[in-house]
Amino acid sequence: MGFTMAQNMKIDVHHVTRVEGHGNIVVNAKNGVLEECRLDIVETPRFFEAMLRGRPYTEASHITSRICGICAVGHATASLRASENALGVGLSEQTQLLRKLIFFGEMLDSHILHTYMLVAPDFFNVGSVIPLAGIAPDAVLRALRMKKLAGDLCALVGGRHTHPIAMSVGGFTHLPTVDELKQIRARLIDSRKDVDETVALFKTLPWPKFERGTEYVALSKPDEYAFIDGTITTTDGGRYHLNEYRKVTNEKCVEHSSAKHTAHKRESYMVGALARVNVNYEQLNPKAKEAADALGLETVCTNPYMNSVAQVVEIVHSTEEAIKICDELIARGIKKEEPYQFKGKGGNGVGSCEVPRGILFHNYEIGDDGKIVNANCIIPTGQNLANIEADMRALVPQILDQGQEKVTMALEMLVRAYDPCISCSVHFLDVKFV
Amino acid sequence: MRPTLILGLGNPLQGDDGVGCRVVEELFVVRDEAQFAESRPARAKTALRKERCVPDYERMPDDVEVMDGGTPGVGLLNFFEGRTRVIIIDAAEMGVAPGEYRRFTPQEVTLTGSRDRFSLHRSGVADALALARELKMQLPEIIFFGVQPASVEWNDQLSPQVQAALPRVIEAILNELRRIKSEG
Repeated sequence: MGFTMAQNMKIDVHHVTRVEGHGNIVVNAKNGVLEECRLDIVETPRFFEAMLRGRPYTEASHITSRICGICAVGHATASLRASENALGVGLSEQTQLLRKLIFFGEMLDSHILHTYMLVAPDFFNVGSVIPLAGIAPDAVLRALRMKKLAGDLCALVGGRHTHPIAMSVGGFTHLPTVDELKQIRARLIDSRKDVDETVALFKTLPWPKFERGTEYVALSKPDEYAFIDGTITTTDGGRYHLNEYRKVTNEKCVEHSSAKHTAHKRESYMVGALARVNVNYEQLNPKAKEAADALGLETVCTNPYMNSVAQVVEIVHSTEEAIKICDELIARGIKKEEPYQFKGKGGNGVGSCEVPRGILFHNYEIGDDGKIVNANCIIPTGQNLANIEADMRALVPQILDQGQEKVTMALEMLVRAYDPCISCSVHFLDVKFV
Repeated sequence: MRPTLILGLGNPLQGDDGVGCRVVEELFVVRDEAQFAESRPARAKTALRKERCVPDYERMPDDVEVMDGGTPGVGLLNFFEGRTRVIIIDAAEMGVAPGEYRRFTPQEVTLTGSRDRFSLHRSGVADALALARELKMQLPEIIFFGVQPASVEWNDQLSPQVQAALPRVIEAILNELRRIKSEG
């Protein structure tokens, strides 16, 4: 058997574009044999865990909501649930509804950003959303319009754009009015047209074909498609109470990465929108199921590229469910509630929610003085790293004969499909005076 | 909607990257935040808060809204809607001494942000403005106050140089508002 050029390959992608933070892809194949295939992570700060130690629990959600510019509500929610579980704080129905409502806002914001601005350019053969705006301005304007609504929804409930300052242990320090909820509900209804057009657009995209049997991990609840709280559930049959999260994550250090890898029953598992749809398909809103059908997403789907499709399905779900929650809150009326008062007794608690990129855990030990003694935070992207590498190892031999350019493209698209938030790198301006 | 927006950008957990948020925090404690007093963020207890940088809050005109924008990426464009003027405060690599600030407009500078390197944080502002140009969006007048960072490592404190610069930056912004007012 003769060797072709394509069977020797060396790929070194420094800083994969259009992913949050930075990751490097390294592939090395010789004589058709894959010798090296990995995703290097440049940085994963564990710094905020150290930063939480010694701080009053009341500050934790405000600190952690700054970890990520996109998942501010998600980190705040996991943080609050950890403190609330540690301190035995119960939540009113109104608080639970408002938490869900703002969560849908962030889910929409993040998924729209990822699908339209980070994934779609691959299918139009352009490097980013900027040239995409030149060839498909209507789609980009639609994305910005949908993002605006999602951001305004978050600001309405969270009290401020970008960071949900009104969210606190036990409830909200600021409440939306019924009139404001009616206004945002009307805008959500209007946005159905944009949501339909989103499904129509993504239906036309040729998603790469690649299947690999994978364990999917997501929160589940008996009565709803779970985003906040629930039982940790896997497609391999695992079911765990939140307090047992370490039995699922099993974090371990690996040589080539500063981030720890996680594994449950297999060498790795996947979290995120595809995992949620795979675990909780039955509980999707009927319109979201219709969208899944139209988009060709059948569960259990083992094609990681379809994670972006699952996000589109969740855009439909989040819009419809947000409208339902607005209806419920408008019918109930908004009542002012007394803030939680610390009882002088600490504890240990786990908070978990499904942020856009997957299951997130915060675990706090709070002392009797109300200060955080220990904090552990496991982010979705950290849990997906081992699975991305397993996908890469399975995918590369299948496509090695297609040449370096196509393999590189397929790998970059794979990494992007996971919507990774490898680290929140700095964003400051780089300025040259002209 | 108030026609002028003062928008602080950055991440206060990344050292001087958060300078925009710190400046804005000083400015908007003034009027918008009394209702959130109990949930003041962690930075409330920093030295910054003990020594207020803005001695006289009454100088903030009614037609000005102040906002902590965090790291919005292209979401930045949504903050522009309906505004006449947006004043952005952000950390900026300008090759000057840490803590020095510069006022500039987008026309006066080249903001690095490559079409192929689109990401949400680094140069998100440059990308957002490039996207706006591509979409031929009508933009408000944009004025930057860039502050040269000393360090953008993970850290919830500003460097001494940037901390010391806060009163000067805030005074410059208030002067900008006075200028705008006098020009009608």
